[in-house]
Formats: sequence, C-alpha cells, structure tokens
Amino acid sequence: MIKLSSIRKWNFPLIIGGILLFVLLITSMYPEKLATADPYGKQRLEFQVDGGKTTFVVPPVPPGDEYPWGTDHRGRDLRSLIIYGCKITMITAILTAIGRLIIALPLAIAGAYKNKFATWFIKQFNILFSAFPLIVVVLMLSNFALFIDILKKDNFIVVLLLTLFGWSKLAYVLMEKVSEILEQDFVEGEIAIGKSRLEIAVQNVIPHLIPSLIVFFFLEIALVLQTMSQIGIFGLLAAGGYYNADGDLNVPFEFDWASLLIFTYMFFGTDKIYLIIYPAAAFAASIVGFNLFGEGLRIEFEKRTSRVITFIRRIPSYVSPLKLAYEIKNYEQHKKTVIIKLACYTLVLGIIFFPQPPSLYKFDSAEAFNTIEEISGDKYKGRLAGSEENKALAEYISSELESYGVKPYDNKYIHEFDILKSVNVKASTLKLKDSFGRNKELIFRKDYAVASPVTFSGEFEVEKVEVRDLIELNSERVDLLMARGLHSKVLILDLSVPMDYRHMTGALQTLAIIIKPRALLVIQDWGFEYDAPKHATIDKLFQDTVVISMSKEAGEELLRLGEPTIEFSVESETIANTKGYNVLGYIPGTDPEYKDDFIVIGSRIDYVGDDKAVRYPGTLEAGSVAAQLEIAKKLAQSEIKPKQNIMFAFWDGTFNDKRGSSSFVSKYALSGKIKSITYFNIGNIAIKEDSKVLLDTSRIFPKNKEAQEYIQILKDNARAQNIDLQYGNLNTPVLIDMTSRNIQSLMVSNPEKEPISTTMRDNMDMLDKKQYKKIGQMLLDTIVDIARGK
Amino acid sequence: MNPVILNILKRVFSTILIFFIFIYVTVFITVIPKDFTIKKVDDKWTVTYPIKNIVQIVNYNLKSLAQGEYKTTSNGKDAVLLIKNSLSKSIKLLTGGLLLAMIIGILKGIFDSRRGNSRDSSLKVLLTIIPISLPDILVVALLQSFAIWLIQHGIKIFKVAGSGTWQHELLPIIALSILPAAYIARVTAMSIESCYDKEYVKAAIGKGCSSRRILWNHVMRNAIGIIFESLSNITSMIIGNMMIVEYMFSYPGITQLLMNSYKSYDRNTTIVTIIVIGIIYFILDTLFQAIKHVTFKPLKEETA
Repeated sequence: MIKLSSIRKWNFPLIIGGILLFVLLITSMYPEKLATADPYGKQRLEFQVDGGKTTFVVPPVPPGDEYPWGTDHRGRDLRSLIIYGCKITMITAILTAIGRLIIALPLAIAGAYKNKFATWFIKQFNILFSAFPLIVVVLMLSNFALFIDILKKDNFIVVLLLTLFGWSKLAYVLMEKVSEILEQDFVEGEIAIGKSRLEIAVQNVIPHLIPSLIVFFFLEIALVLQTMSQIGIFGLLAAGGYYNADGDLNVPFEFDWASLLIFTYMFFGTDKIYLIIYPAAAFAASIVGFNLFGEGLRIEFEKRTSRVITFIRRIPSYVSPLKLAYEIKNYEQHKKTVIIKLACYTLVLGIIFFPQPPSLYKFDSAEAFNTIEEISGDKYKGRLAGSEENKALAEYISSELESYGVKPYDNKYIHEFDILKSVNVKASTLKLKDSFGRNKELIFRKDYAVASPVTFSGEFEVEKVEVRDLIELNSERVDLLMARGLHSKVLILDLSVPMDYRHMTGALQTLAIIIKPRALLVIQDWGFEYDAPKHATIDKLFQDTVVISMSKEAGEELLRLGEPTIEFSVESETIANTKGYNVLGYIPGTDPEYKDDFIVIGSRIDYVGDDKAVRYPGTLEAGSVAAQLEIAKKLAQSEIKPKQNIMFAFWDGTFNDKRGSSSFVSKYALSGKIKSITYFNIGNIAIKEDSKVLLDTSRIFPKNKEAQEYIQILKDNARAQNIDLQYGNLNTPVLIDMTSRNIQSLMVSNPEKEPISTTMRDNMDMLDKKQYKKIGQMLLDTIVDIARGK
Repeated sequence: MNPVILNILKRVFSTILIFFIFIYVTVFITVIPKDFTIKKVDDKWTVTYPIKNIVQIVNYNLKSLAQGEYKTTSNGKDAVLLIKNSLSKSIKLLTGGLLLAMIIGILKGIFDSRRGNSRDSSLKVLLTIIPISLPDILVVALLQSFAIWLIQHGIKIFKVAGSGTWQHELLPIIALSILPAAYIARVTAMSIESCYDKEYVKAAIGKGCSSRRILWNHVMRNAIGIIFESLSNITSMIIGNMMIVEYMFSYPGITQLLMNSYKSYDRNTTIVTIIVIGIIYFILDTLFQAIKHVTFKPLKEETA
C-alpha cells in the first residue's frame, strides 16, 4: 500500500509533464492510429432526412455524434486535423528552441565572462525586440522572398524568424546561470591550475550547465508554442499552403495547429468559438506538458539525492555496442545485463526491420505493359470519343473483362450514351509577315494553339483591339465598334496582362456575340517548355470563329511587328451526333445487406485523338486502364468473395460535354438503383519525372467510416511499397460528376509540374516501369484488402 | 562628476540610442522590398535590389517621419487623431489589466506559497505552472464563450466585442490580466518562500508573532521589492497579450490599429503605430524600473 506521505514526495510536475509529452510523441508518430478520419476529407453541404424532418448540414459543423470536435469551415474534421497537425507543430517548436539555444549559449558564456560587447548585445537586443512585438516581426518577414528562396518550406521560415528574433531572453537567463557557476569555488581552483577561459567553459561550465540547459530547453519549447499560437491567430501559416481559384486551401502533406487558427477570426464572439477552443486547447496541453516537464526536471536536478543526472550520464555507456560486446565476452559476470540488452536490441531491430507481409497476388506488370501497348497503339488512333476506334476499344476491354470472369453490369458490358459533338484539331500552320516581307513561322502547340475546331485557311490583315473598347458597352459604343468593320478582320486581343476576370470575359463575349470577327488571335499568359496540352485548347464560347491562343512570348513577337499580315490554316475533324461507350463490369458482393452498395474503380478510355502527322498515344492514361484491367483479372480469378459489389468502370467521353460518367451517375446513382458508391479514380500514374503519387481524399466525408478505412488501407499499402504518397487537390470531370451526387470519391494520380497529359510527350518513354509496377501492386493490394474486408 | 548622475546619464543616453535603433529597425523591416532576394544571373549571385537603394529608401522614410509627413493614413484619414483615440483606449485597457493582474497575482501568490510550511508537495507547482501555460487565445475564447452563455441566459453584464461602454471593456481587461496575474502569483509565491528562509522571519516566529503579522510586516515588506522587480519582465508579455485581446474582442486599441494598417498595406501608419507601441514599452519598462528602485530596500546587513 502506498503511503500518503510517500505520494507527497512524488515529482508530480515531472510525472504529469512526462505523460503529456509521451502522448504528444505518440500522436506525432502515429496520427493515423489515433485519428478516425483522414485530415483532408471534407464534409460538404448535405441534406439529412430524419423522421420526416429535413436538415441541412453546413460546415462548420458543431461538435456532435458524427464529429466529436466539430468540423472547420471547410468541413474538415477538427479532431483529425489536430492529431495530424501535432507532428509539424512539435518539430517547428523543437527546432526553434534548438536554434535559440545555439545562438544564446555562446553569447551567454561570453557575457558571463564579462565580455562587454556580448553583455551589451544581449541586453539591447532583448530591449529592441521586446519593444517591437515578435508577432509583428514574424508576420512582416514571413513572406520575404529571400527566406522563401533559401528555406523553401514555410515552417522552416517560421523556425528561422522565431529563432533570430527570440533568442535574447534565453541568453539573458543563461548568462545569469553561467555567472552563478563561474562564482563557484571549483572554478577558482581551475583558474589556479592554469586552465584557459575556453577550457573552463568547455570542461567545467557546460557540464554543470547541462541540467539547466535541459530545463531551459523544455521551457523554451513551451514559450515558442505560446508564440506560435499567437502568430496563428494573425494568419501565419507555418506549414505553408496557398489558395486556388476556388478559394480552397491547397495544403501540403502535413500542416500545423497554428494554421487551424487562421480563419477563426470569422467566428470570434459567436457560437462557433469551439473552432478556436480545440486548437488552443491542444496548444495549452502541449505548453503545460513542456512547462511541467521542465519544472519537474528542475525539481529533480535540485534534489540532493537525485539520480537523474547519474542516469543520464549512464545512457551512452548503457546503449554502447562496444560495452555490450565486452559484456558478452564476459558473459558469466554480466549474464542478466546481456540478456536484458539483447532482448531490447532484438525488440528495437525487430520493430525497425519487421518484414512486411507479402502481397497475396502479384501485379503482373508485363501483362499490363502489353495492354498499354495495345491501347496506345496505332489501332485506336488516339482514342477520340465518338470515333469507331473508341467503339473497338470498348469492345476490346469488354472481351478482356469477360475472359477474366468479371460479370457485365446491368446485363451488358458496353453502355452507350449520346455524344453531341466530338472534335479534334488535327493540323495548323501560322506564318507572320511584316511590311518588309520578312516571314516568321510559329510552331503549332508550342507558340500557339487552336482553340476552336473549325477548318479554315487564308491570308489576312490583323488589327489589335483593346479590352477597354469591348466592355461596358451601350448602343452608341456598339455602333462605333461596328463602324470599324471589325467583323471582316482578324483581331488581336492581348489578355496576357493581369486584369479583372470580369473584364476579360466581357471582352470575349462582345467579340463572340456582337462582332464575330473572321478569326481571333488571343495572347494569353502561357508558355510551356514543351507543348501545350491538347484538351485545354477547346473553347466553348466561339462556335464558328477561329480562335488562336498564342503564348505570351509569341504574342509579344506579334505585337512587335505592329499589325502584320498572317497566313494560317486550321484542319479540324468534327464527329456530330455520335455515341460514347462506357464499359462496366463487376464482381458481385456476397452480403445481401450490401446488395445495392458498390465500390467503383474507374479510369478513362478516351483521349484526344491523333493529329494529322503526330501521334498522341496517351500511354500514361492507358496505364490506368491497364492497371485496372490487371486488378479486375486478379480479383475475378481469386477466391475472394467481397461483401459489397466491386465495379470496374471504364469511362468514355470524358473530354466532352456529355460524359460517360455523368450518364452513369444519372442512370444508376440518381435513379436509386445503386444506393451507395465509394469511387476510386485512377489517373495517369508512374511518370518518369516525379516519383511522388498524389492522393486526393478531399471528397470523402470524414464521418464516412468505411471510406476512411479504405484510405487507411491505401496509405498502408503505399508505405509497404515504399511509395511517396502526397496529398493534393485533383480535379477531373469524372470526379465533378461523382461529387455532384454526393458519391464519396478519391483519386490517385501523378503530380504534373509541366503538363504531360494530352501532350505528345505522353508516350512510352515517359512511363516509369518500375514505379508503375509498385503503384499497380499498391492499388491491387488495396482493392484485395478491401474485398477481403481487412 | 557624481557617479550616480554619471550612471543616470549613461542610462538615459543608452535608452535614447536604443530607441533610435528601434526606430531605424522598424522602418527598415517595414519598407524593405518583400521580393528582395539573391539570384544567380550568368553564374553570378546578384541581389534583386541594390542594398544601397534599400538604405536610401529607409533614410528617405526616416526623413519623412522626422518631418512629420505621416499625418494621414492611406485612405486619407487623420492618422494623429486615429492613433490618439486608439492609444487612449489601449492605455485604459493596460492600466485596468495591470492593476487587476497585480491584485489577483499577489493574492494568489500568497495563497500558493508554503508560508514556511515545510510539509508540502510538488502538487502546488501545478497550480502555478498551469495558469502560466494557458495560451492567451484560449483564455479569450473561454471568456467569450462564458459571456455568450451568460447573455443566452439573460445576464447581460459583458459585451463580447467592440468598445464604447464600460461593459465592452470588462472582458478585455479580465482577459488581459489573467496571464500577468499568473506570472505575478508565481513570483510572489517564490519571493515569499525565499523570505521565510531568512533569519529575521525565523526570529519573528521565535518571538511568537502571529502568522498574519509575520506575513504582512516581515515577509511582504521585503517580498514586494522582488515582485515589482519582476514587473519589468512582463512588459513585453503584456503587450503581446494586448495584441491578441484587442484583436479577438475587436477592441479598437493601438495594436488593433497596427494590424489593420498592416493588413491594408498602409505603411506609414504601420511604422508610426509600431513606434507608439515601442514608446509604451519603454515608458512601462522605465516606470517599473523606477518603482523597483523606490520599493526595493536592501537589508541593512546587505548594504553594510
């Protein structure tokens, strides 16, 4: 029985602080084990019907059964965000404390040795940056280009600024502590035996300072965390990130607690104050932990009977392999120690090098490469939706599925849908001629792209029009414009300079609806190292006018020539009122409870079509289809009986107005034939230039436990295959179709810094075969694990 | 020259010098081009802005500042009036917060201290560490929640945001006082404990003085000097807290003006506001140092 008097002697700060720090350590190391949801999933606007009562779920969702700590205003689960944010917050705070110690220690020792400059510098720096609030300094300098260029990562910039401008208080207290040590009698003894100042500092001061340094280190971390919480509320994002056009935050793989406080200003003094309280409480728990641990250590170090320092001193000798070797040599004397040490070593090495269980089914990459070659070959001519070639491709995929034993969905593999128009700009030439008769030929898809699919040719004089002349029109100004005879000319419009988006669209609408020129040369702010993506150049606004989009560089050259003559031709192919062909096969589920629930794995079969003289093989895109076929084959031929239905969907018409995916959603999801869908979209994978794989989980509700488990399975398999998985926002028309129907969708794809998809570079040379095999195995293992109900 | 006067002169000169450095640093940090960096051009590292030009810009701004050209904000408002109004509000907040912090802090410090009782556990350390560790944003958020809860239950003592009435000022003052109070409490408890170890307290106990008499006549008279000495350490802390409090309560004080002018890219007002905050810091620091000198009377044996 523990006596009350002995409990009173316990070092409570050390115990409680230690427990809190242990919790922080575990949270930082294993966030996925503690969080119920992936931190990037978002709860979107949702209608809930409960007992005849309809309610709207609009983020931020207050704490409740589904979200114990609520969601932030983007719908992300606050608890998961805090758990996942622990690691980078702690790293930032610890690095800052280390940085401050590195600066403060030598200055403090010099100051304690009565070095006038050091003392003056510490004191004045302390005063200076006490008067200039640290928060303001950090805010002002955090977007400084020099720091961004050197340090790259935003959290390192925060570390640097908090270190550079916050070390002086630590130096001050350290200086006092060193002075205390220097006043002790043994230092006089060291001086008497002739030791230099440096020797005393290194051999005597620092060893005696170590307990205090440890204490100050923990207290300093707490202080840094306190400052980080203040900076967060004023909008500094320690972990980086930026906004995309939708106002959404593109976050890196990890983020920190301070970032969670950024948008809370919208909720000060409202009933959404929990958005501040939870991250602030996380800060509070960690600050309490570090402060208590530091104070506990101080109490422990000050005890005359303390064995902590002895214990710390013994650590190196205890873990030394040399000592272990000696002890093994003299086994009889150190029997017990050797056994304990070997057990510990085995345990640690076992954890580190624990072998991953082998995959149940091997992803046959050779087979997949054959499929890629088949799909991206000449036979299908660039897989233009609505073409005969694509129909043949759909038949090929359906025959493959049939041979694997995958069942046709709704009694057929090929599901037709209407495509109004499918277009392909196949060739173009453009020559500029100035008044001196000099010619300059521009390169198609490098200097310019054709944005409207019209066949056209001729030689024309061009005239430049200004945006300001085309907006805010009244009848008088329209008459003036028409009087210029612009409709019979080829016009140049410069949109490469920054301008209000509304002005830009207004000017284009005036040209498309009122003026209708012969052709339009639009100078835009683009320029690619290789070539422009083919799909991005189709303009929906101009139906009958030829629109040429010029790169900024080519546009500047055109403008330098004044108003030259241009000679150009465009050759386009348009297939009207045609059909698209989705291919749908499935492996039926065995659990009647899930008979209307589907896990759908999808990729697209259509591409942009070949040019007249250039092939567009779309190998990377074909890679996703091949991977999917390989997964379907392995799963269909296995003994696995999934509880819910697993569907393999191959979408057609994904570049068109009426897409195969939207047709599927309307026919099956919206009609209620399929009740629940969890959708995995496989984008183009295994690019040679970048080994990272991007995962977009933002369309999965954090409360959807099953889908969250699938994400976790995918992450585990990525780790097993040693794949660098990163988070990001990916947008494809297929995902938009799915999201609009509240289907839980996620996507795996490559990050493309320079566009490769729908360019002629998307060919076999771009495919990283080794990486493809790994990603294929990861996807196969994930689907197998889900099907097995792991 | 009298060494005391010489010492004072030295201190005054040092303060003036550091104040001018402070102004220079303020202007420098505010006006330095944010896209300043070093880039490799033709295999040579070159700065995007010549250092000479930056120094010229800083000097030009300093000159404008000295000539009093920063009298209007970027949107044409009277900057002097704006600063005057917000400063008076902040001073009210600071004074109230500091006074409340001292009252709560000293009382809590007396309660937390062992007062000569040797049978005590480290549990009491928790009482002092935990309040110090609370981030000010948590304190403000909890206070706001409490105020909203009171309002929802018909008790309308506090107003959660804005200014204009004493009810608007109550919560910011309380929020501002909590962390300094926790700090003062800690210092008070520590200084009381150190006084109880002194011989004169032991002598008073030996004489049979009541514990109250020992606390107030013997301990507190000596501890108060250490408490005031510690006040200068909380000056920067309280200014940092004031930024959070004013921001979260939408209290139109000087730090709120600073953040607003910074966010609206009003460089001139930002510079002036930072300098005004710096002046508050220097005044408070000098004030606390002066109080420390007045109240701190070393024991006769120490002076001998």
